Amino acid sequence: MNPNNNFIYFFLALFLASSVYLFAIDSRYNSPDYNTDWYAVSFADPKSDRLDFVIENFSSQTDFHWEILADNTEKISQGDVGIQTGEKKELSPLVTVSDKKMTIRVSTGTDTQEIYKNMQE
Amino acid sequence: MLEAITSQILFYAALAFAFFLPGYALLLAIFGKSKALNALERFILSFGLGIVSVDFLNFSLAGLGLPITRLSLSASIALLVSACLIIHKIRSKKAGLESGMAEEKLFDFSRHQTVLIFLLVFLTIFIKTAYLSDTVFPTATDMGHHMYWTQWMIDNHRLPDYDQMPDFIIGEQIPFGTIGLLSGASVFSAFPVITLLLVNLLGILTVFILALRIFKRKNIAILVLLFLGVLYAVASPQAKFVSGGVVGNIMGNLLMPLAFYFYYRSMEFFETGFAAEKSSRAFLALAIFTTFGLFYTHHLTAFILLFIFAMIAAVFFTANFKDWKKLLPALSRLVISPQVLATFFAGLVFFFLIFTPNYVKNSAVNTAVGAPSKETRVGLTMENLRSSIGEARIALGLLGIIILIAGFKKRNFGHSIILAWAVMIFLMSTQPHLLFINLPSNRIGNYLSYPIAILSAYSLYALFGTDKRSKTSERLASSGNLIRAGFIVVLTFVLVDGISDSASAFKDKTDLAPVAQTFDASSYLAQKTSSNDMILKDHNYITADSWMKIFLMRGYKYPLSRGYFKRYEDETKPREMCTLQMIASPDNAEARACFAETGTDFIMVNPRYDSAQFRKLKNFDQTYSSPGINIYYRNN
Repeated sequence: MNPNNNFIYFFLALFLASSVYLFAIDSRYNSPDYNTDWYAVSFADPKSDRLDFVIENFSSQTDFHWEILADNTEKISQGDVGIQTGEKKELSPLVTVSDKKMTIRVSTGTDTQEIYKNMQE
Repeated sequence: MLEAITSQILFYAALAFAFFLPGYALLLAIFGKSKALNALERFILSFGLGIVSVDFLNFSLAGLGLPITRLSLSASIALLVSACLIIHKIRSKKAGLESGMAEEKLFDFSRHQTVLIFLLVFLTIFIKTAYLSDTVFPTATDMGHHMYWTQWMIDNHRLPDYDQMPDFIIGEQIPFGTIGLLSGASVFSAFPVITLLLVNLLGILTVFILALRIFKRKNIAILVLLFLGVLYAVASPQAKFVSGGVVGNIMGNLLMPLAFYFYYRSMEFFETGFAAEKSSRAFLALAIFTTFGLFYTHHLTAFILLFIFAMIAAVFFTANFKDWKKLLPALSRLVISPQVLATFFAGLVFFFLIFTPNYVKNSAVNTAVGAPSKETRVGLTMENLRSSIGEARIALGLLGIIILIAGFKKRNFGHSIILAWAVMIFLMSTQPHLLFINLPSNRIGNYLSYPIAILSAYSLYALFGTDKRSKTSERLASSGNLIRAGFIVVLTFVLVDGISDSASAFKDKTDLAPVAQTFDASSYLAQKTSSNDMILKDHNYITADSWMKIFLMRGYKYPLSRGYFKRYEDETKPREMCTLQMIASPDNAEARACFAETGTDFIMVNPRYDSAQFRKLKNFDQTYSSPGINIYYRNN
């Protein structure tokens, strides 16, 4: 066999091995195995007065506590929810929206995230 | 799992079908199975020629008004390959084409040389892969910009017009768009980095065969693999540029050596006389074809190539001044031939009538020529060059220039190419005012490592090598301890400097959470907003923010971006201040006017740096929160 053909096969085999390896690790940023220390809280409808919110869980914690505060002081609702790693859940609390700053505070372990809407005119 | 395997098989099939096959078929149509090209050369050259061929196929589809889809691309590539195979079939029936060339011995490597080549290629790929394993994720700003237009091409089935911006050139997107369309691979996968890695590797191999052809010394070519492939394998413009998505430079460093290879082969006959060989005109036609491909791919590389051409011509004609009466007729017989003129005029027709690059329409040349306008454009110092090219390589490379001049073979067109390539880029990057160049000097300096690597190999060989390949060790042994010790010292210095440069470039393990947070927030905004909303994001403190526009696909300049702070202070390039004001002081009068003018209603920032100013304002709601991203909505 032509030794130059051997070089071509060798090069292609190395490139193949390299690229298969790089493909295998490229989606790690989406993988719970490599990315397990955070979660996100967001309003389901950011533009309306509704307070429905979503918790997306990328952490190893699965138990979340949430509370709704008016003007950051008056607790008007609260609850607990379990969300598996890599999943998300939309919550629709039954609260009367007042003419105040309405804050959703979500906590798990020692970490807390907040979102809010200013309802004042 | 099955989906991932299928996706990868499709990716490799697309690479082979779109890049290797058209180039290989083209070479087969032109040269048949003649010995003008070795099998290894055919493999290496096929890739670059395939990229240029696919560029022109895309232009043809666009010129005919056909949508660029998986079907149309596959059909046009199949048509080109079939046409080439038919031409090959017809031509192979004619006697002479297959047997007219002498048996090529240049590629008969000894067993030791073969083992060394395999080892060097292994190390090259291994080091680059190790570096890329921590940087393959979709985070690089430049890659994000390029992938936006790639996605645009995939979504819209036509070539992007870049909103008339001159900074993007079509040849930078077509290879990615073609692979994306043919294989269905996502721009968020590793496929752009892997494609660019392949371009980078084939560029190095192109320089390998170029050096082999010009110097006709196998050991010099092998040393080129050491200096360009293994040593400084990570530093710019190598693996760092691959992961950073510096597409133009990586592609330029494939196409420029490829063009030099073909130009050299077309002029190779001067080494033995003044009668062009049968293949000379074909090589010149391919050189012109590749040059047009380069002009369609990267304006900076093309600009540099023009300067190098000027110096090559000056060096070659000055060196051969006494023979000009024989030289000019020989050159005119070479140039005035059907295949050369047809390629040249076809290229011009494409360039000016079918698909003209934006940088030509927008006269980008005017901004590149003139007195240097900034401190970053006044030229690199030797210290700059030493750190960017590597101490050992620049020392041996500069020595190589002297040795090449001392042993200059005036009839060897390759000597003129190598000398002009190195000297012109050296001048352009260190003394731009002499040539009236107004471009960032470090961007030009990044091109210097290629010719300097060749010259380093040449000088190391000239110092310690021998013309009789099998007696290298004997010569070293018989030349006394001084030479042997000198060789060991120089080689150790080179290896330590080159490898330690790569070692220092390795990152700590990448924290992937910030990337995931940016993408999650981008996905949220893509779902919850429409093109009636205007989003402003921060580029300073958000990871992978340039990839956000691919989630939204609402225009290249959407969303608005607060750029690096220093850019707002650049007196030579005044810019709008709204993107700065709207995040820094959202409640001051200027910012309020900016909000009214731009219609900005969503702001995405890193809460560690930009949060307090929004929290105290009643007209902002915080609608999204994660450790790395907060999104604020302007509610009135």
